[in-house]
Amino acid sequence: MPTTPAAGNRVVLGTAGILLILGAAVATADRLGATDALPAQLRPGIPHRDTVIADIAAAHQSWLLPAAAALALLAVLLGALLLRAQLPARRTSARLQISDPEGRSLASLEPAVLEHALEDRLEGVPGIRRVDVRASGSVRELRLRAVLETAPDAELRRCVPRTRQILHEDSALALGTAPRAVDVLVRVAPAAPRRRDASLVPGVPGSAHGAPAREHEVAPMPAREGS
Amino acid sequence: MRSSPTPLVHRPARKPAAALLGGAWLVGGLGGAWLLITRMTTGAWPEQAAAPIAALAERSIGSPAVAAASALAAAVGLLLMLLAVLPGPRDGRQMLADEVPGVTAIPHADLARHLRARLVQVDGVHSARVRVVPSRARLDIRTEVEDVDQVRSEVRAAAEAAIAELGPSPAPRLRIRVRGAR
Repeated sequence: MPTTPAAGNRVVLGTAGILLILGAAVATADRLGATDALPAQLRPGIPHRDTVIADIAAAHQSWLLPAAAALALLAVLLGALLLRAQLPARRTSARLQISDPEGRSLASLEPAVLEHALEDRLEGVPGIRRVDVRASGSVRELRLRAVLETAPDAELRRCVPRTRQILHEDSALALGTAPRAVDVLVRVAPAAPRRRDASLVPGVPGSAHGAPAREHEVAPMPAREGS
Repeated sequence: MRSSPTPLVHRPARKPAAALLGGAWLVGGLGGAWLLITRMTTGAWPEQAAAPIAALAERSIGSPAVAAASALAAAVGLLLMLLAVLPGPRDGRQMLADEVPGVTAIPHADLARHLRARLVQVDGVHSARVRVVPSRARLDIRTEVEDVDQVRSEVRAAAEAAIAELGPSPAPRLRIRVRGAR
């Protein structure tokens, strides 16, 4: 089951943004002289705008280099973690444990077995070209997610509810408990290129591969999907 | 960060921005660690970086270069803040609600393909281009008949019927443009 790092990404981006803006604001305030008005004890870390960077480094040499090196290593670590978080999460598939009403284990089932059985069952539904089912959770809290690829001219109002019904009923029949959720994502296949269609229609000149249309005249007038 | 399954319809996860930021931290951190650890162990900056570091060290805090760097940092910070705060458009919409628990969703591009397949079946439509965004569907129709208004009304009826069948939430507003024969 794919998962998303969306919330984590936003927190990291927002925090980095705030830190950058704060740093830039302090530097700009210093440059404009706005920090001169502050009492000396309130601005211990803010150097005067005429101070040369080498002097700042020399004044804090004892701790500045180790601190900067530690900060650099921290940046390496955080950068690597942030990059790793963008990779797709590995699917976790805990076995589904089927129990009797007393709680005794009767059997266990790999989710892939259920997924393949449901995919086979959906193959005959009109309008559906391909289906990918994912099962997650437990027997009592099963979540099914199906990605359907339908023909461009499929009757979605018929084939999608039929699919959801089959997924719900068949998994309930197999496991003895109705699934908690059946989520379906509908993908519509692109229509066949018009050029190929034209090549199959008798009398239309040209074809997908530049061959004369006559070669295809044996083909009956097709009722192609998406044409 | 990874505990919940993704919803079927989601807003941008800001992956490219997060990957760029992570890459910048990684490269900058590696470079900085190399410079600083070399300086701490040998007492001198690496030969390749000595000249730029010396030039940087001579600048004052109020120098134009530092001001430019802080302006750049502010701009980047503002961009990162906006990416974090702005939700971004959803990539699809829910539809076909029924009594089975769970949801059905369709991405915008797939809804556009579905609508297009319906519209090319309308009498008089030569070709159709459909683009669906979160709030509306834009239908660009080409026809070779002269009665463009008739085609437009039939296209509107077909599109409204196709949308009503699916019951998408939110339903897109239709913007129809029909280009006729000259």
